[in-house]
Amino acid sequence: MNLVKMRGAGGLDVHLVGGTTVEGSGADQTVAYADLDDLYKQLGLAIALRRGAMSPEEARFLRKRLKMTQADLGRLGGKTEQVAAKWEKGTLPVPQAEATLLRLKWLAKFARSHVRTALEASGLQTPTTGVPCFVFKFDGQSWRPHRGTRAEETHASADEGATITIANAMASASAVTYAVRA
Amino acid sequence: MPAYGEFNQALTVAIKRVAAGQGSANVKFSPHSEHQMEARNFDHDDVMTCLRKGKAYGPEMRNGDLRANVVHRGLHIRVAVGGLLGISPDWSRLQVVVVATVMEAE
Repeated sequence: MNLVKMRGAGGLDVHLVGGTTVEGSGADQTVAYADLDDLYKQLGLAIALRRGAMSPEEARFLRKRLKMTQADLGRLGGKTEQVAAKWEKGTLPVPQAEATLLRLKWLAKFARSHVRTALEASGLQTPTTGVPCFVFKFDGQSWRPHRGTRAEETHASADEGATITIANAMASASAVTYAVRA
Repeated sequence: MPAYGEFNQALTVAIKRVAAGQGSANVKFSPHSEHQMEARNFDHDDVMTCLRKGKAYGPEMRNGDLRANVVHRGLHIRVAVGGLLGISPDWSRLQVVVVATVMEAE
C-alpha cells in the first residue's frame, strides 16, 4: 500500500492512500489533492470523534474551522487568550472539558448527526497514547478513513523509513481509524 | 499600490474559477509552499479560501516564472501562484495554478 504523507495540514500527521497527483521531482515537484474540502471535513470528523487527549494541532485545526479566535477558544472554559495560545503551542495541555466542548461545537456545525454518538462516548473515554496519525483513502468519489487490519504495518513513501501501525481503535460504524507511530 | 503589483480583476476571476468547488485537483502545491504553510500556521483550507475569495495582484516575472499574488485580508494570508506563463492575458484558458509560496499578508 502506497501512503503519501500530507504536509502543510496544520502540523497534523496525515497520510493518504490515493487521491493525490504528484508531478515532477526535487524543487519542481508539485502535489495536487482530490477534493480538499471533503478531506478537511473528514479530518475534522476524525479529530472530533477521536477519543483521548487533544493535541495542540488538533485544537488549532478545529478552532480554525469554527472561525474562532484564540480568545474565543479561551472563553469556552472561562480562560484567557494567553492560556488558549499555550494550549495550541503545547506548553499547557488542552483540558478535557475544553477539548470536549470544541469537538461538540465542530460536530454541531459540520456533522450534526454525530453529536449524539460523541456525547454517548464522552463518558467512556479511553485515553490513547502516542502521537495520533490520521490515514484517509480516496475511493474515487470522496475521502474515507482508511480501515486497515489490526496491526497492519506499512511504509509512508514520502516519509522515508517511517513505519506506522494502523489499528482500528473503535469498531462501531462511526469509528475513526487512526494510527500510532511505531 | 501594494508592493506585489496591481490588482488584476480578470486574473482574480480566473483563479477563483480554477479553485472553485471540487477544483482542488487543479491547485498544485510545491514542497516549499507546504513547508511555509507549516511554518506560518496556515493549511490547505486557508490557501483554498484565499484563492476562492481573495484578490489577485500582478502577475510579474520572478525567477524566470510568471507569478501573481493572491491576498485574503481576513485570513491575513498571501499566496504566490505560478504556472501562468503562456496563458492569454484575459486568463480565460487558465486551468491550473501552482502554489509557489504562502506568507502572511502585510
